[in-house]
Amino acid sequence: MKTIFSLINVVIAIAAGALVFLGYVFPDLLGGMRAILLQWAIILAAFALLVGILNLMQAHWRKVTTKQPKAVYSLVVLASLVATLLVTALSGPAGKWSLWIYNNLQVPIEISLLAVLAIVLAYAAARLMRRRMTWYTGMFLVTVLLVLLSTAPLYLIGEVSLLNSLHSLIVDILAVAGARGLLLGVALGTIAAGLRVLMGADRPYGG
Amino acid sequence: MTDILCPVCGKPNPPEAETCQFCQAPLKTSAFTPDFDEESDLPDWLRSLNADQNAFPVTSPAEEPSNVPDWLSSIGGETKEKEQPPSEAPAEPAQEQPDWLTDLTKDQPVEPLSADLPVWLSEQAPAPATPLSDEKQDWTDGWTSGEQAAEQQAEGEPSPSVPAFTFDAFEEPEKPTASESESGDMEGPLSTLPDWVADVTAEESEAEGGEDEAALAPAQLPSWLEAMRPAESDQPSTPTEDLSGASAESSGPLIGLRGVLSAEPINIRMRRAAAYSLKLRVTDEQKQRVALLEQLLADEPKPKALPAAPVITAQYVFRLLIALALLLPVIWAVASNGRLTPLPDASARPGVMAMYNLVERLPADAPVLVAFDYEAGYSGEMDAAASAVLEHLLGRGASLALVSTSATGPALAERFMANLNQQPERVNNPYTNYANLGYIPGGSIGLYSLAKSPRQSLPYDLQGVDVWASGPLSSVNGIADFSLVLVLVSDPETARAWVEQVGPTLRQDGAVLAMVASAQTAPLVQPYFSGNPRQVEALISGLAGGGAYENASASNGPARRVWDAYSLGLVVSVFVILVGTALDVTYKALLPGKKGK
Repeated sequence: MKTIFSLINVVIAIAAGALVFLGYVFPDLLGGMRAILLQWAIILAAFALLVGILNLMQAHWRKVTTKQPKAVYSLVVLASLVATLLVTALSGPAGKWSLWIYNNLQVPIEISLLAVLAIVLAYAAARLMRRRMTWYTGMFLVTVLLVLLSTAPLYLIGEVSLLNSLHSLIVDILAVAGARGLLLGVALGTIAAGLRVLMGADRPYGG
Repeated sequence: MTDILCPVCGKPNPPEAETCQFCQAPLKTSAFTPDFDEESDLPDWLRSLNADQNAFPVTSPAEEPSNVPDWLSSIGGETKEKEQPPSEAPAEPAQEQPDWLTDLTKDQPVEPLSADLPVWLSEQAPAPATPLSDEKQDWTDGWTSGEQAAEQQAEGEPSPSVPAFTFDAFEEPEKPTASESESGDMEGPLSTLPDWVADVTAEESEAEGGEDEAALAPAQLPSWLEAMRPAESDQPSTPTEDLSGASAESSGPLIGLRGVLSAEPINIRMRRAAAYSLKLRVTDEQKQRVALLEQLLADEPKPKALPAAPVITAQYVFRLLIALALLLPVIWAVASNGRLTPLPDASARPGVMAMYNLVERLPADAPVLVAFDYEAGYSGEMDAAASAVLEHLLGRGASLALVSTSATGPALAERFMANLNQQPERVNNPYTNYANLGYIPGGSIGLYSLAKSPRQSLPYDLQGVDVWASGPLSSVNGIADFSLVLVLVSDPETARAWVEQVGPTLRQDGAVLAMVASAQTAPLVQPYFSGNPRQVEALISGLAGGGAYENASASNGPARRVWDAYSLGLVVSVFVILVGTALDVTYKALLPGKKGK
């Protein structure tokens, strides 16, 4: 039975992928079918978000009921989720209380985490030479310092033409060249992954 | 007097004991000898049998050779010679023996058999000189004659007669009677049968033997029978072995005999099994090892207690100093609200100038699609970078349609617009020409669907109003009908999805895609802006780009308010990194032996 289900999954996935792909090649013939399949995928993605929320609730509820270590954090998650759902359902997603929760809880917490990240990165850069003192480490540190100094006008000094030139060299040439190569690699990887799914060699849907 | 050794177990017993006190075996033959005191005690059938025996005494063939044919008498003679024990052969050596064998036989000393007998056997041997009592003489004549015949046979003389049976329990098997030798195959059964049955059987066999002998007529032997006649050389002529030097058996049934194979070899001699203690013998050293192993096994599941870390370490102090060095200048700059550092020059940034010109070219009431695709953690940077652009757009009278591919994007858009309306000049005149269309599910597929049919993908705003029916968005039927698509993005993957899914549709219809990206995303978006033709028409990178746009638009936005703190923080960060690197290099130079932490 499991083999039959796996076979059905493979057939559905390959057929849907092939129809969407051929819809791009023959838009007049299969464009309508491609649009329908894409609409189905959007609906499924929205429903998957709800399923994910339910799964999150179930997992943390299990931790609370089984009294696992640090279950108090799961209890906080469940309480926050239920409270936010109730407030958003009553006042609407753009309501006053919904925005209050977002502006006074979520945004400050996430910004604080990124602020801590900035301090940790500065500390790691300061201790980098103690970890590994090589020529590559030195080159990395020099590049970091140059980009930091040339990103904005210096305090009490303003623009420095030499630093602007170095910034253009690093960001507009070196970084763009690296980014282009990265994007080409991503494109080739996407094509390969799509072909593997179409041929059934890769089955992210299971089976 | 010496002890009597048991013939079975070989253990000594007192001389007066009749049975072995260890194994209960009979020690003397008298124990088996029936006590017939008077003839009257015999049963009738036995008396008649005795009478018949006296009337018709059995004679051996040697006693009456005239009744036996010649050929049979000759066979009988040879058989008798064969049955002679080797020790008696030298007494009457065969005339046909070779000389060398005769000489060899002469050299062997003849010893009486009684000399080799053990003590216990000598005691049990019948005393030949002991006469029987008168009362027993009449009916035991036959026995006596039988014994005399056996003695005569032992001396090499033919026995005159063969007793039918004997009650004497002691009979030497080496000296069978003539009748037993002739009917050798009956010896086994007779030994196990009762005496009276053996008697009858012996008479029948003798009678049958007599009838067969009488029926045989003297004739010439056939050639095949002549061939079966034993050769003269097969006659026993082996010299007697001298057993005087052989060791005597000390135990078992052959105890006292010399020159015999031991019935109880040494290797299988019974002995008591060695007793092994069931208690495990463990030395002190082994006990110590076992205790150590048990202690190791007991301590294994226990978590090893970590040494108590000091509350204040050099690393902790260094980390705290870095945090204070970064935070204090930034806090001071924000609190002082100084404007000591000029904003970046927009002319030096092509992306900023392209954005500015793009907004300036937009017609009044132009529909603009704005995507809030960044997370709340990046709102400090993204709000400052995008505020000047959106304020410029709203100032130009553009109608904004706010969307997001992030679940928190709609709330972020509402927060952004609320912040814009909180400015002093907008308190009484807030921006209202925008519609928050909400969340686009499906990621890349949702973007593709939005590019093909925005009305179908997002039919209502967050309040549930159909914004497509009336107002500025009523003229929008496709994505290309928007005058500008502005994406506020902090994730490179999301930026790429917009370029790949929405960009082609926009370029096909002559629409424009612009981006405000965070500082970390800008390098990956830069190729789409630097290419020819551009897939991204305008690009603002981070807070510096937002400050440059404010500088170009001469606005007093959030970028200006935090610019001094931002610039000071960058300088302090560079200083901290330089100081830390110098300390590390110096530390390693002074202590070259310590590498790493």
